[in-house]
Amino acid sequence: MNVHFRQGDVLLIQIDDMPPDTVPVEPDGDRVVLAYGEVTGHAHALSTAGAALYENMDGRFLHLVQPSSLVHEEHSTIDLAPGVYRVVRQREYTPREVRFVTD
Amino acid sequence: MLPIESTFDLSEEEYKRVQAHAENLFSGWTQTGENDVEAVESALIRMYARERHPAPYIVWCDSPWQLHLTPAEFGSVTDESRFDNACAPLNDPITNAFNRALSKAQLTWPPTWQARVIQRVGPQKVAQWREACARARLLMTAKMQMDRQAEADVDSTNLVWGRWAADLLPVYATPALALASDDWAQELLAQLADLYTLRTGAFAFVFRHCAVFICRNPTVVKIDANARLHSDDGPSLQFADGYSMYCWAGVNIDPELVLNPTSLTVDRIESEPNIELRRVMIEKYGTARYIEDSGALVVAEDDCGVLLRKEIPGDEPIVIVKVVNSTAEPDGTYKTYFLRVPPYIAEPREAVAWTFGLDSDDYAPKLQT
Repeated sequence: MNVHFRQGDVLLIQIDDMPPDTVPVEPDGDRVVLAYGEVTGHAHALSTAGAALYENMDGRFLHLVQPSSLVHEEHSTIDLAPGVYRVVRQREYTPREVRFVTD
Repeated sequence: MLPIESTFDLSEEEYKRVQAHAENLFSGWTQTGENDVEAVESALIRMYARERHPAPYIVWCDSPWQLHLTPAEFGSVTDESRFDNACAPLNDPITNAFNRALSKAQLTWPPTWQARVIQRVGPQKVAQWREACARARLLMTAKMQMDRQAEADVDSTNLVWGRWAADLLPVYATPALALASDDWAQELLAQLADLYTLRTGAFAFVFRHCAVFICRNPTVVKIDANARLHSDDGPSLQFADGYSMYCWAGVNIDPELVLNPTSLTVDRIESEPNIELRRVMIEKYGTARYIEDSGALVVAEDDCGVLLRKEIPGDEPIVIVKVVNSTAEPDGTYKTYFLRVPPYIAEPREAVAWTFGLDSDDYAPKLQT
């Protein structure tokens, strides 16, 4: 089982290497934002100082080159070691489709 | 508010002084009414001068939607944003130590808000405001040519700094107050005084290289005991142009929920796709009453949550996992969420694992907040 960390509706699963064919995701100013809350304006975010976000067809991947803190206005901070993490958004079942959880 | 007493070793007297300062800042949240335009503009000019910048061009907006749209309308003449770390008055080790806390103070508009704002305000009002911006932009360009400022491309960030962020000011003031005779402390306090003027003098600011965009004070601000926007009988936030926000414990909600709460039904709750709004609706409806009225039965319980199941005649059953936040709210309570999962799921752990695309055996977070 890969090591994983959870902050609210975002799960980070540590993986060995950055998957192929990823492209960088533009940061939001000096923050790498993993997910926004639409009605709260809150965000799961890290400083661009040590973090970069990538994506491919399979999803999004976080690359940390130095120890970094994942912060959110309503959840405690999670300190993460350098490495590569798969970013999983929480989803919900509906009879017609599976939709991602937004808050 | 950060636990300042645990950050510094203060004497009782120093602690009282810091607390009084913090309460003073805290009270600024609900400031309404006339803006002290002159005080705000002088504080801005001093702040820019400290960064060795000429006095900025200042644009006042009536409402947050205008503040949100305006910087882009001025785009190419304002250059990239300034004072991204508006609360970091000095680049010193103590300030740096708070960088992490500071990152919380920055509020960025989620990308989806723009369309929503335009929809709510109405395209016609937005078009009128854009025309007004175009006229002001001509004036600004003329002023900047006189100032011999080079034109530069603008970045697209809409970093907004406002009074909600300034709750962190006491953190910066703490070392300064404890060392009040020190020259450095005096300089820091002078800079904090300017930030405080901004905080109470207007609602929000966008700082750019040559310009500052300001949203005037609201006419109504209502908050709960945890300083989150909250009102159960009207808008929590309203501006001079009538633009308003209805909030429940910091969550932006449909005005109907505040103005006509008895209209809330189980069907309305279950058709709400946003989990945070659904949580608020269930809270307003009453959690126990919701479970009872929805006809759901508890089928399993473990350390991940509670699994509820509701049989629907002629359709697949609705299976819902009830989970509780790992991080406590400021008042010590924990938020409860209800997530729908596929009907074949039998255990809460399996349900939560499914929401992250994992099998039950693979789900065991090393840390959960």
